[in-house]
Amino acid sequence: MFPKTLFLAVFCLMMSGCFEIIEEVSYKGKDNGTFSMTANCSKSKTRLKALMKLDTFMGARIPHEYEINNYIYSATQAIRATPGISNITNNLDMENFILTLSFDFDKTETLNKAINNAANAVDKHKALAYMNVFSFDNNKFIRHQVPAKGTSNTDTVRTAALKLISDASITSIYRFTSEVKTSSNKKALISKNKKAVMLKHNVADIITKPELFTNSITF
Amino acid sequence: MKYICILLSAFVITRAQSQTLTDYIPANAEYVFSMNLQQLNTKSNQMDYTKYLTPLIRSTSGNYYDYDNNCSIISVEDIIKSPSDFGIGQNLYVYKTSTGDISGTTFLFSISDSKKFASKLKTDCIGSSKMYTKTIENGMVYAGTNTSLSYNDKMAVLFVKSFSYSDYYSDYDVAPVEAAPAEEAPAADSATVYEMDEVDTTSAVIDAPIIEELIDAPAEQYEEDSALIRERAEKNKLMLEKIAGYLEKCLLPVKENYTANRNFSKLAGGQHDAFFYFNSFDMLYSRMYFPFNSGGYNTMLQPNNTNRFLTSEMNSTYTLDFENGSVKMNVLSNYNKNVYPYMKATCDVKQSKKLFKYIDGKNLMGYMSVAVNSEEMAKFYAAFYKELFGGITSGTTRRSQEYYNILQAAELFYAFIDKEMLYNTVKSQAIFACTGFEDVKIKYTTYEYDEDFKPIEKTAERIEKQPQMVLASAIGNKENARKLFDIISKFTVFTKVNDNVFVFSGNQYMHLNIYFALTDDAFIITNNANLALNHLKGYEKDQQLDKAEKAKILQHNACMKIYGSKMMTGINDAYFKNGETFPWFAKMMSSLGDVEMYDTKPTENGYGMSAVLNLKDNSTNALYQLLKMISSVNEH
Repeated sequence: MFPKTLFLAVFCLMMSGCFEIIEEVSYKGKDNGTFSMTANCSKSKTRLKALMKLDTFMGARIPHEYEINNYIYSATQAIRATPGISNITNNLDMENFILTLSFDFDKTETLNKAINNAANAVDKHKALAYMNVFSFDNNKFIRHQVPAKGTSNTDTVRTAALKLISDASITSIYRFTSEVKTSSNKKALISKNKKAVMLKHNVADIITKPELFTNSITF
Repeated sequence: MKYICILLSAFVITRAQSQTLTDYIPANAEYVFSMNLQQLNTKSNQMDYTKYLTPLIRSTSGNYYDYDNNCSIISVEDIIKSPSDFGIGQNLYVYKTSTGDISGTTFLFSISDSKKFASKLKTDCIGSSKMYTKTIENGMVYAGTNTSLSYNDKMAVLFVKSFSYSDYYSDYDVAPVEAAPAEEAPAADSATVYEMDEVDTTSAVIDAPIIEELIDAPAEQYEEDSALIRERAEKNKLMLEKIAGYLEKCLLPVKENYTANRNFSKLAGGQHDAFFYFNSFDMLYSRMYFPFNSGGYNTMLQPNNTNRFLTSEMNSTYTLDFENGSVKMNVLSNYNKNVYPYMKATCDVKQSKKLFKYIDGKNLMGYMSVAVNSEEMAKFYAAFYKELFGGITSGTTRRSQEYYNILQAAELFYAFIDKEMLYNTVKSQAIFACTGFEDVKIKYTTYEYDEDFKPIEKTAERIEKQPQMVLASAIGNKENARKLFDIISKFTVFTKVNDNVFVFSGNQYMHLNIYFALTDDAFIITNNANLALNHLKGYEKDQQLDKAEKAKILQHNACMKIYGSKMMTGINDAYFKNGETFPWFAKMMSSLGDVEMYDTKPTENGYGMSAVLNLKDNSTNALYQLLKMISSVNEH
């Protein structure tokens, strides 16, 4: 979603091996709610700390703490400037390498706009195609495929790189005010109160097959 | 006897008449670098190694390497890449001279066929105002603003001029053209034809924006700018003539040359793949290590030329040789006989055997051992710097006086220092070692979810492999060592573990526990808790370094070994799961062997170091193997 930040983050994370990303959308009304994202790299904190002391590692530049802060600041500002967004909070814990970002949105379309604005604010070199990440119409919530195309896993180097992050996970949790009837993704779990759906996957799998993270939930 | 005399005379006459390329290198060149092109091409198995030399070549080219590419009559890369195409001889010499505003780097090489050589030159720029052309006996001179060339039937000189501010700004005047050639040059040949085109002062080096400005400018402005352009063109012409004069001179042997340099001749005769000779050690030292300037460079500092008791004949040589299965590098610092007593006293000490017991040899990845007499070394450097900076003490400027006073203050400060405490507490006998990777427990944050998928933050533990390091230094005066240890242990950043151990537990950036320990014979710094807490009496002999390594350490004042294969396997195990790794890392693991470095005992003339990088395949030349490995890494 945030290509440049993701590139920097993924590089560092690949060097560190273990991390988890948690994407949460909690609806509070008909179409409004809270979005939050957590990137937890604390499992790899010692290696990341060692990496952060270097300027480059194996030819790749390691971002400084202030650069990471700048990216987060740019993304936050872009989200804040999106009409319909409120209560933005973010926290970067450089001791444990945990980043949390959350904000309220008035409708799902606003949430998509905020995500796209943040992505464009971070990657200033080229305008990114608009991504429809979520949609919520007629008692149906959809998590779309992002990006549209997966990374090829035929290349031996990419395969080796992906093996390095084989322990990394990505989790999505969607909470609703109504009870969930169906969830299209077979790996997704429905909570006991039937108002939440959780899907956990391996990051390496999602990089090669982003369609694995799609879900269509009906009420 | 008669025949011997005839033979001897014939030898002397032949020797006197034949000239080597080094006869053409002036003795005052700052450095000389030589590459045996044919040898390297053979050893590389014709793989292109020249692309890795580009940064080196560019570093010799000032700030404007690319600016003049279109007007380059020959490129350094071309010469190195395919010397046989140009009919270039075995060796290429590169040297640097500083002669006012035409300082630069000179590439010198012999040629077997001047016609063949001439046919390979790029002729696009000949005739333009950016190139000065001159015909000389059996050859040509082409002088450009950046790259210039001269050649005759035996040799060629390529000159890359250093960037000069005065080339671009008119408030810096160009000195008048020196009469070239100078003392050693023969009288100008009557056949010499000067072919410098009439400089077109209206078109020479005119930037497009300037033309546009001129068109729109009022008449007075036009006159003013035209005058400026004419001035620039005239200056350019003078500069090119001057470079041409220098290049013509370069084709003549010089009286005081590098052949007469004993150390250099020995080096040049060594058939090395490449070597580097560093002259004017004192001058470069003053540029690089000037202690009162944070930038490290001070143009006003001149070496003291009147007192050269220690600094005369100081130079350094570096050689590089690729052999089957190994790369060898030798460094030799040459000095005069006055330095020898200092060096001898500095190195007249062996490594302390008592330190061996603190090095766990079972999984050793590498070590470095140093054993010198620091007090004697300090005496040498004090005398050396005093001599080196002697030149500024006689200065009358305010800055010179300041520096002079700083030197006196330093001497005063040193007089108050307790030398016993300084030199004999923690001695300069130390071993630093990486003794393997050990499992360390790391706490981290993770999330679990309740039945309604609300995240619950938890703290978990994981095992991580971390390299274990140890630095063991011998101690002299135990009483002083204990006194210092007790004082340092009281700082609040440390936690005292027991009377002999305190620990630094890191901060947000460093999660390592670093232990400081004092024993009867050593001061130890390590991140190995097992050593600091359980093995302060030392490891058993069968767990220490093997006998051969111990013997080697005792033989040398400086000694280093990296067990390349073990080190890379250790990294692989620590950072990659189930032995899976990047293909390029696997390639490096399968190719690289151990790295060793050790010094040689100081002699009356010099003190040296040898380093060897061993490769696993002993049947193929190391250059070819390394090029293949780098190429494989680059592919990925």
